[in-house]
Amino acid sequence: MPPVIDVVDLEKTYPDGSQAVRGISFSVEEGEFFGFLGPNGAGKSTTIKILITLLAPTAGQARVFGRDVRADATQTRTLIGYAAQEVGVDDDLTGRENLMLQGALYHIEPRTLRRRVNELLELVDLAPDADRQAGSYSGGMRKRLDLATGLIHRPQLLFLDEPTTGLDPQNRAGIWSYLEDLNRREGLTIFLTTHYLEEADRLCGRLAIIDHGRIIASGSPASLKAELGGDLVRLSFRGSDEETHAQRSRAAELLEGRAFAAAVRDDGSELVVTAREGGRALPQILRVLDEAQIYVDDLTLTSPTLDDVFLKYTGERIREDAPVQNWRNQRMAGFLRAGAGGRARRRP
Amino acid sequence: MEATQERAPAAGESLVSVDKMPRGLPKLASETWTLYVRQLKRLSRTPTIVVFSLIQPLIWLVLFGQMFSRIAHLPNAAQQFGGVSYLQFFVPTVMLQSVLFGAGQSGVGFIADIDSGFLDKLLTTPVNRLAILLGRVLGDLTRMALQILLVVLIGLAIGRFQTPTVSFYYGVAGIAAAMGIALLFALIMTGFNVFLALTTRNTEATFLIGNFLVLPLLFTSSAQLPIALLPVWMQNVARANPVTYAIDAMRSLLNGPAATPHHNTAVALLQALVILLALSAVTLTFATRKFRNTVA
Ligand SMILES: Nc1ncnc2c1ncn2[C@@H]1O[C@H](COP(=O)(O)OP(=O)(O)O)[C@@H](O)[C@H]1O
Ligand SMILES: [Mg+2]
Repeated sequence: MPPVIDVVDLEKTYPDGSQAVRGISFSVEEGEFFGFLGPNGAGKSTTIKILITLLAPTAGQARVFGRDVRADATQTRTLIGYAAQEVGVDDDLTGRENLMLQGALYHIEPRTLRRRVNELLELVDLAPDADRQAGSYSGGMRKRLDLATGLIHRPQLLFLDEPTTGLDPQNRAGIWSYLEDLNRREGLTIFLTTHYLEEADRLCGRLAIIDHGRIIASGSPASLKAELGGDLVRLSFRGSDEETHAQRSRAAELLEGRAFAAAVRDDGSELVVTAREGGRALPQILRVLDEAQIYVDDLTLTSPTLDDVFLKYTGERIREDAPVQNWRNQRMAGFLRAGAGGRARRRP
Repeated sequence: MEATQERAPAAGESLVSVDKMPRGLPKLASETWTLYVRQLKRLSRTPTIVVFSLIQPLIWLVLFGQMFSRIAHLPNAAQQFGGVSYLQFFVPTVMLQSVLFGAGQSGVGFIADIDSGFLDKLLTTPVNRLAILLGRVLGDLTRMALQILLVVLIGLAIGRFQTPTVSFYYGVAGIAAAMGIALLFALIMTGFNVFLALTTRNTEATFLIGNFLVLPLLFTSSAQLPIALLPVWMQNVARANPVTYAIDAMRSLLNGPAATPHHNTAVALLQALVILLALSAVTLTFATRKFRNTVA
């Protein structure tokens, strides 16, 4: 059986010359929850638009369910669902009407469609508001409606472009649990893009990190993080700049080469120790420093995040709070809020 | 084909199948209808459009109808006006004006759908792309048909309070035919505005350029005065202006043959039809091409 999505050397250069996608290859198997993680402008939306038949690639192949997406566009469209970065609902229509309209365009038999609409309204908790105009919905409700319209025909593959961008943490968590349900209970294959680390980490079984139109790393979130070689222990010291600098250098000398510390790095304000097992290394680090009468002022133990993975491959961090570029609706950018994607922070 | 059959769909049985979907024209018709109904619903839920299309012609008809009410009775002019009041003379002008300005909405509506992401949502379905354009254009034509019907009714209503009262020469048939001409013009303008909107992708620009062209088009035609009463240079411009032909045809259909330079309704109608059909073919071709490129 062919993979659900199969992309080979895909490229897209827009007419204005910007190279959005520069030769990417990946495939997604049935039942997977696959993600593209990358900062704004990485080429995520462009890739999705090619896969859902809305954009022609410049080069390379994109296959969905074994068929070239362009060659058999109508067939492809019946198999896939899509929820865009923008919320594509008609504000003048009610929630129910939005769903009915979308369903009518798939030519779903009216009785089946009415049943399906009720089912989806229940699923996304919009049943009580179904007959109100979507314009009166909150941001979270509109996003849920948007998600439901993408599911109207029971797609075999769902594409989600930044499904929680602009939502507050509570709505985001709500969407996450719908998506997890869809994937786990119904076995729906999902392709999601995001620039939120936490979202990729929590939802995706496997992900590709994309930057400047290229895939720079891929694998499960756990395996990507494991590649970084362990946990990070960050130490800071008390005193003037010179004093702390001296303490960091001393501490570095003492810790370097020890079995429990895989790497020691002075980042200018903190001493960062990489340890395969952070919890075990901690007491040993403290003992060594204590014996040398160097007193630690603050200490954090962090497990590597996907941000660290991104940092490793690109030398930069993903800017989660950067305004989202929207080629169609520049006005959106201003009010799209970014959310928190925390780094695990444990104190001893 | 085989691939779908082999594949046991995991995410519940799909509710669509290409094999069971209608094809060709029936598919296009059903999808156009779906999207047309959407436009009507939106229209019925946007009270500002309804109020505005009532107030604007009212102001034009009352204001201009009064301002120029005596011109039509000046000794040398009465014959040029076809022996009707300025108000009655002015009704077709306001009808055409309504569609000239009203068509701008089509373009703006398109941009709104693009910006909101709604168009993409439609495009991910197997909908025939043409149905998206047709549904919108038909919806807008319906809106404009209602607007110009309102103009006629307002004209009749105001006309009751003056002598001679407003009365239409060929009755309901004439009114319907005049509306047909106005809608043909609406089609030209809709095509133009859709093209403009898809080219600029910008609401303000579409509005500005669209309206910027409408006023000169109206004022260098026989819309405000019978062509014989215009200065000679402007008569020449007016004869090259399609608005003149549309207006003259509408006038003869509403006010009788005496209302046009030829004194012949059939000639005026034929001229208008040829010119307007040709022009609508041009703008609609451009709009369709642009649209196909946009959604390709
Ligand atoms: N319609 C377009 N025309 C020109 N350039 C575009 C267009 N859409 C996107 N781009 C450019 O392509 C790159 C990738 O954009 P996009 O796929 O939207 O990224 P992402 O979704 O990851 O934020 C960006 O540099 C962007 O500036
Ligand atoms: Mg994007």
